[in-house]
Amino acid sequence: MKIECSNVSRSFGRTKALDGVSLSFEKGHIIGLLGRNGAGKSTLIKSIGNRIYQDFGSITIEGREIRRSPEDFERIMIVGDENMLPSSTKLKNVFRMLEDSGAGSFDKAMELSRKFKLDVNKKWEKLSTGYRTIFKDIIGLACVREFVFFDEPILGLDANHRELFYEELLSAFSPDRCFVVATHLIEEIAPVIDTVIIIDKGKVLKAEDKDSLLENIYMVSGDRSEVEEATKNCTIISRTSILGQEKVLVEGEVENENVKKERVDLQRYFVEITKDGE
Amino acid sequence: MMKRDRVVLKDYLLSILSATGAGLFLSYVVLPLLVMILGGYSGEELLTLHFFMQGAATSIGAFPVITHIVLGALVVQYMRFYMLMGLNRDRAFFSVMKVEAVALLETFVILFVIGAVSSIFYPVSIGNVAFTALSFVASSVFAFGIGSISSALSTTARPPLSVVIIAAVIIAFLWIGERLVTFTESVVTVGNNISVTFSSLMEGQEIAVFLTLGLVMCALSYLVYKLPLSQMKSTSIS
Amino acid sequence: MNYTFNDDSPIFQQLAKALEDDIFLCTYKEGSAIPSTTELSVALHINPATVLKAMNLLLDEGLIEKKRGIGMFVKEGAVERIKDRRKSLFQSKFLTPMLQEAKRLGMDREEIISAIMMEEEK
Repeated sequence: MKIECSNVSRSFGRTKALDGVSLSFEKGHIIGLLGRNGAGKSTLIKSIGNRIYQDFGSITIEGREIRRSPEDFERIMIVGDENMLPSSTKLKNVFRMLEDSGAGSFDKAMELSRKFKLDVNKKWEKLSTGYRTIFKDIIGLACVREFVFFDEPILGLDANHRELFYEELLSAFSPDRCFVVATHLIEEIAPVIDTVIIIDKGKVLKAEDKDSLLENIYMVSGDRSEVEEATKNCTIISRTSILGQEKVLVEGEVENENVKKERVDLQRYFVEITKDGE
Repeated sequence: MMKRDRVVLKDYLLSILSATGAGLFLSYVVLPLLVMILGGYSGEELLTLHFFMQGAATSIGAFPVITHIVLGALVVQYMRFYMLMGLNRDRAFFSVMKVEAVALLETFVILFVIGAVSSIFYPVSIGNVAFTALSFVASSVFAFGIGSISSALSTTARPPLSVVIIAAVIIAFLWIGERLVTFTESVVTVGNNISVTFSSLMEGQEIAVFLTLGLVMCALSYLVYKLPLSQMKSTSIS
Repeated sequence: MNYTFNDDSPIFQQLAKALEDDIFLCTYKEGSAIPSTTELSVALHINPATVLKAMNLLLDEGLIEKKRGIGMFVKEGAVERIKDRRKSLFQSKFLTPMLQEAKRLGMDREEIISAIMMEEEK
C-alpha cells in the first residue's frame, strides 16, 4: 500500500511552493524527504496530512483521495507543526486523548517520555524548544497509524537525544509501516533511511533507493582531459578546476583508469545537487 | 460518532456535569445549611428551606453557563487536537461545535431534571421548568460565544487587541441584550435580616435574542480563524 | 558490537565484512546465533534493509544459515571457508602491493627476504 502524489502543485501568493510533484510513499520503507529551507517539504507534508490543500494534482491511497476519505486520513499521522497541539493541556492528557481516539499508545508514549526525560505533567506552552520537538517526536513514535511523517524531528535536539530518536524510530518501524523523515540535517539520518527523495524549489530532483543512487555517484578527479573523457557519458552535477586539474561530481558510468574515482556520502551529494546558481 | 469525538465529548460533558454538580452541592446542601444555622432553629427553618429550593433552582443555572464560557475558550485547543487527528481547520471547528451542541443538550436535560425535582418542593408547572432550563441554555450559548471569540482571538497573538475586542463585544451585546430583555426582581426577607433576590424567568423573546447573539459570536469566531492575522489561517477550504 | 562505518564503500558491505571478521575471530561461534536484523538495525542505527543486504551477502558466501522461526546462525565450517577465501586473496591483497612498493624503492630480492625475516623475528 502506498500514498501516491500525482502532479501536486501549490502556490502561496506568487511563490510556487510545490510544482508538479509526483511521488509515492510505500509501506516497508524509511524515507528521507530531503530539501533545503523553504524547498517545499513542509508544504508537501501538510498537503498529505490534510492540513492544507493543493491547488492542482491529487493525493491518493489505492485510488482514493485522502482528504475525502476518513478511513484513509486515519492511516496518516503528521508531526511537526507547532500549531496542531493543545497548548494548555498537560502532556499526559494529550497522550490520553491520543489513546482514546485510537491514534496512539499511551503506554508507549509514557515509556518514551521516561527515556527522553520529558516531564509529562508539564503543559506544551511551558516546554523549551528542544522538548517541544521531543514531545512531537514521541507522538509520532507512539502513534499506531501506518504512515507517519516527521517534519524536522531532530531540530534542537542534543546529540544524545538524536541518537535515541534514531534508535526508537528503527525500533518502531516494521514492514507494515512507512516512516518519512523530512530534514535538511542529512549526515546522521543517512544510514537510517533506505529511500531518498530530494526536493528543491518545489520540484522533485531525485526519488530513489539510497544505495542504488549512491552507487552511481562518483567524485572524479585528475587531469582535465582525462576527466572529460572518463565522464563523457555521465551527468555532471558540479565541477571545480584548479590549474588543469579537474574535480567533478557525476552520476553515471565512469570509464577510464587514469582518473581517481571516489564514492560520495549522501550529504555531499545533496549539497552539490541543491547548490544555488548553476 | 467517531472515536475522536468521544474523547472531546467526554471532556465537555464531564465539565458540565461537575460544574452543575458543584452548583447543586453548593445550592442545595451548603447554602441551606448556612441559612438554617444563621436563621436560628425556629419554625422558620422549613420556610427558609422552601425559599431556598426555589432560589437554588434558578441559581444553579449559573454554573453551567459559566462552564460554557470556559468551554468556548477551549475551542481552539480542541480544534488543534482534531487537526492532529487529520481533520482540516474547518472540519475541526465544526466538530467542536457539534460537541458543544451535545453539551448544550446535556445542560438542558440536567437543569430540567433539577427543576422538575425541585418542583416537588414548590408549586411550579413543568412548562415553566422547561422554559427556565431553555433560558439558561440560551445564556449558555451566549456565554460560549464569548469564550469562542476569545479563543479565536488568542490565535492572533495580539493580547491587548484581544482584550479590547472582547470587552467591546461583551459590552455591545449586553447593551443590545438589555434593550431587548426585561428583568423583574423581587426581594423576599426571610428569618433575621436575610433576604433572597429572585430574577424573573426570561421571556421567549429574550431567549431568542441571547441565542442569536451567541450564534453570531460563534460565526464571528469562525471568521477570525480565517484572518491573515490568525495562526490558523494557513489551512484552507477546498 | 562496536562497528564504525565510513563512506568508502556501501554500508552493507562494511557491515558484512565486520560480521565476517567477528565470525573469523569466533566472537560468534560456529553453530551459535548472530544478532537479528532488527537488533542490529536498532543497535547500529542503520536501516533494516541495509542490514538485510549484509546478511544476504553472508548467506551467499555460505557463512551463515537461516533457521526458520529462530534466526540466523553461523554455519559449521564457516571459519575454514573464510580462511580459504582470505588465503587466496592474500596474494593479490598483500603480496602484490608489497612487491610493487619494494620495486618502487629499488629493493632487490635479497633485501626483501631479509626484511621479511627481520619482521618474523619480532
